[in-house]
Amino acid sequence: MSTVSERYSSVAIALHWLIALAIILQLASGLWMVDALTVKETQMRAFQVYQWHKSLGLTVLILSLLRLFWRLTHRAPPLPEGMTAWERLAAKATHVLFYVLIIALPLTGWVVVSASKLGLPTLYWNLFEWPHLPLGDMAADAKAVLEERVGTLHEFLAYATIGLLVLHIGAALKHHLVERDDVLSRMIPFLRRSG
Amino acid sequence: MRRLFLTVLTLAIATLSSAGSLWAMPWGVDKGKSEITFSGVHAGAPFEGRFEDWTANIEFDPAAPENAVVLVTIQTASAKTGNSLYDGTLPGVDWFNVATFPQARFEAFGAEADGSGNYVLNGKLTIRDHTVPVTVAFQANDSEARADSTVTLQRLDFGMGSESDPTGDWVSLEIPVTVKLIAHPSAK
Repeated sequence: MSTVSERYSSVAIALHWLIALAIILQLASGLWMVDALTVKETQMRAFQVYQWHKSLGLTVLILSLLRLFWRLTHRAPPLPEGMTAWERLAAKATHVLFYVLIIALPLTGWVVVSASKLGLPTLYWNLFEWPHLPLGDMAADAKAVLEERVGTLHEFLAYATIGLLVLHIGAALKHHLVERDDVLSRMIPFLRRSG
Repeated sequence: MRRLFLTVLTLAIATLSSAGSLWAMPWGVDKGKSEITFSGVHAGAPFEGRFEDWTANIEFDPAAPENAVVLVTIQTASAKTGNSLYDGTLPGVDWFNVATFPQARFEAFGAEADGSGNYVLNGKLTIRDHTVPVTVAFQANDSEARADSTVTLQRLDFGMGSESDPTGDWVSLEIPVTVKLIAHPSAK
């Protein structure tokens, strides 16, 4: 194995970690706020966290679209040579799925707030009003069904993300600690082992 | 002929004078000292707001309160709480629905007096397409009328929030509205 290998571009690394941090905050806030909203003592706090969750989710959407564009226009460093075919496939599938999730999660969230009977505006970091998807013509019943179903999907995607994160982090650590290759240091350059 | 005309005119003036209403004095509101505010509780936290754009037409004679006419027109889009999230929600279809109902209206014909400067207006308040009887107390003499009256409205009476929160889980069903108003007879 070569001692000097490619790493991801600085843009890719920055986007990866920004989105990673945002996704973890989104998972934590999302898991907490759904129940906290139903408890009188935490209702107001949960309401505020919802507003914050909407802004951060839309930020994830923007960053993820940028990242997808970056990925499609820039080559990722090659995987280590020692990996088996199924490992390569699993790595590839995990990454593709992540792209699907980090775009689908905010999109489904956007549908939910657009269909919500509460009719609350989405104030993007309190800077401007983020438009809702044009569902104005839909009947109230249909909107309620849409909110419910897409809300359930949003929740399912969140759990899928947690599962995938466990796999992703586990694989990264295995590469770093067991295989002792450069997979993790491609994304965390200061971990690079000197030649 | 001329004499008949004068007689009719005199009679007409006398009749109208005694009926009063056409001669009731117009009063002007001191907007700097008057306000219409509302309050409520959302998710356990109290909020307050005010209507920034409203006008009042008042005709009132303290000696003949039964002829009073009070018309207040409120621009529903001018309801502001200072919380951009609330202010973005209030104009919506399920709340003020300002696109369809840009104005709320209070109208009262005739006030009741207790003889010591206290009056009660029995009026009707229309928000959206619902009208509810509302009573507003005020004090008045020949030179000034003052109201500082709170009416607790049930928002569902006006269909407000009936889709998004019909049970008051989020927004209190009771919305106290306070009218602070100072008016003076308009200069003749």
